[in-house]
Amino acid sequence: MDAIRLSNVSKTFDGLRAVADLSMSVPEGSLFGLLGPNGAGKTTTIRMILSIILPDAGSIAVLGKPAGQDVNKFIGYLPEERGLYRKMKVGDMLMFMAELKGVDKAAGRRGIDHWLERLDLLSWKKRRVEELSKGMQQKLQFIATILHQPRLMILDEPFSGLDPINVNLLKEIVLEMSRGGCTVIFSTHRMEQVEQMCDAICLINKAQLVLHGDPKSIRREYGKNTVVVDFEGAPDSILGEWPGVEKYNSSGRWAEVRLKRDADSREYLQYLVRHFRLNKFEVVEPSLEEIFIEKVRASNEADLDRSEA
Amino acid sequence: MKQIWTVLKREYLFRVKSKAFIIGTLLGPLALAAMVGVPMLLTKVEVKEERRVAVLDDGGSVASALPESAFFGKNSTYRVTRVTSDSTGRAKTLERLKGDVIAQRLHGVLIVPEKGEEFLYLAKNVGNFVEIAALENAVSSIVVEARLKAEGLDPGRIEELTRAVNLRALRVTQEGVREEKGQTIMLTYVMSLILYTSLLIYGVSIMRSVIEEKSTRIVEVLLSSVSPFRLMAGKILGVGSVGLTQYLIWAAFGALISAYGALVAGAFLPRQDLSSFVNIPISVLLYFLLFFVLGYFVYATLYAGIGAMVNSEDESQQVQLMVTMFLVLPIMLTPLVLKSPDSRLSVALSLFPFFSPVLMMMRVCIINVPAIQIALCVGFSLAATLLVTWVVARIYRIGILMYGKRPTLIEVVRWIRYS
Repeated sequence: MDAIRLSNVSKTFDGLRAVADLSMSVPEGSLFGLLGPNGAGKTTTIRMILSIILPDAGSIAVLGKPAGQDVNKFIGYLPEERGLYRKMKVGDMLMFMAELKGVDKAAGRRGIDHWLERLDLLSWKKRRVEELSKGMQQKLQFIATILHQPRLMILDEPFSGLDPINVNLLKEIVLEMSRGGCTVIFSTHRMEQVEQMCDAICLINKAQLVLHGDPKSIRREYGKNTVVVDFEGAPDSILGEWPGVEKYNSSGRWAEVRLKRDADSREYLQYLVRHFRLNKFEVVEPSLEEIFIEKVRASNEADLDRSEA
Repeated sequence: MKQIWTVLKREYLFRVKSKAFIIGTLLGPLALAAMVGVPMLLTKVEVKEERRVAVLDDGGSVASALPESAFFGKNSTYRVTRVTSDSTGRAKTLERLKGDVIAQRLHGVLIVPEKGEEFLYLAKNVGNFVEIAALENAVSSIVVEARLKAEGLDPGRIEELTRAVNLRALRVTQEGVREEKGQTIMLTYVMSLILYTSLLIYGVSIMRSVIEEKSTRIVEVLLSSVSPFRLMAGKILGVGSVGLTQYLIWAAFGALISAYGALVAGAFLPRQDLSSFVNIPISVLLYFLLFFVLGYFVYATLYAGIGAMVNSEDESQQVQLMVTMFLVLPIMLTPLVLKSPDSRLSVALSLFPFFSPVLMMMRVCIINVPAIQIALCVGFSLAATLLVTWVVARIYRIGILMYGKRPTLIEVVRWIRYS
């Protein structure tokens, strides 16, 4: 069964197309990446899944039922714009959030203590939310998302603003919940953060679906014609002067180089050795980020062509 | 239902536990008591200082009669001295007396005219209209008495013959006949003012709370758990319960204080009839609750809608004004309704749902409003509540997620039609 199934969903705001004829599905139990640049329509899609806004056309099924308030109690949602009652006490606020999701008092109390302890916030339970640091408030919001043991979690940019230790802690918890059968959706424009975790992704750009599938096969489809180079001794522009290079993405000493389909990576290695001192040369599958950038560029160009024609 | 209850509980507990509520609840009655009590106390404070008034009266008839009149009598702090024009002439004497007033050796100078009937009173301060009126009265009665005597009539006899009759106003109600001494008008004013104030305060408080949830972005999390309608309903009911709690506390305070006050007063003034002082008819209190609840739903919902439309309190001012007008208008119409509470216009105005909390409250205080009108009023108010809720729920659903530019009226209308 699919945890979420969108069929031909569209949404327009005052003439602005936010989501256009989007169909996709999220397999139950998967770690799913909802990817796309800013303004692609990710948040609108999520809001429609949660029935916060209603689609103009198309239908949405969540956990086997039509989307609506009834299924929402099985969903945990961490919005990108975090929001807490600043004047409330930490424990009271979590209890309120849990009760809204239908958790009973005793279970709520147990859950609150457990998670506050786990995320190292227990000593703050009686303090007001506004006294917490920003990172702590992030963690608090995360607790509010999982207190009712959701069957589906939707995390919008879950790791922004957190230090690496807390990022790992949250990832650990998310993976635990995923192993427990919870479907997890990451919505993000930072692919490297979720690349290793996701077992299915979809890429949205300009309100439309661009790519859909599991990352492994997507990367395989793009073939082993990408080279990662760690180099010294010459400017990076030389990287692209070899005729077999399609494009490269360099950060000065480290670059991801995409070769043309018929180019031989061994010949490229010989070319590089003549110009650089190489610390690393590796033939890899393209990263999701690279595919992402290329796909977005391609779909934007297609859009442009269409509007010019 | 459970979700509405959860939202209600949070709003209620959060507010009732807040310092603002505790301070407001305690200081509210104190402020009211101060408003009523301080002027009453002030009138009791007597100026013990002696005030010397010179009467420039060359004839002498007025000056000699003045000390006998009530205002300048034995217990008065005014001391009257007669002055006549000295050898330098009347004008010079007057100048000297003026100098005395400026130097504060004299409180004032009363000048009895040589001819004609225009008296003059010169003082540093002539703003005290109580003093001026009393003086005018005293002088008038002396002059009138003199005129009567000149015609050969007996002033005492005249007074006896022209004595006014007494008219006792009794209010007939189902419970019997009750004497009116202005306490009804007082009660009416106080009740409608409390209603007006609390509708305004709690309405704005709801609006603030909606704006706060919007600006802290918590609303998005909330809406992933609870529908906008339930969120709004819980909020309105929660804040309303806070209002009712405050009234209950005040009513308990009031009952306690007036019971205690009556006891104390009874001990000191055993023969005084104090029942009219303590007695607010229970029906009036029940009507008060009814109109608070009816008015509250209409206005709270309207204010919630404003909160959903705007991004900040600054932005809300203009829109808020439109709603506040509906609350202020009935207060401005008060004299009209008080003068003729039974007129067709008064009935129509009091049935208009946005006016009825204040105006119908006034009418039930003064007269016995027919049951059919009360029923109509309740019906209209409920219908208005449903209509307003229907409209605002639509605005709320869309507006609450809108950030940035404030929507125009046209956009709001589109929201209502669209969702």
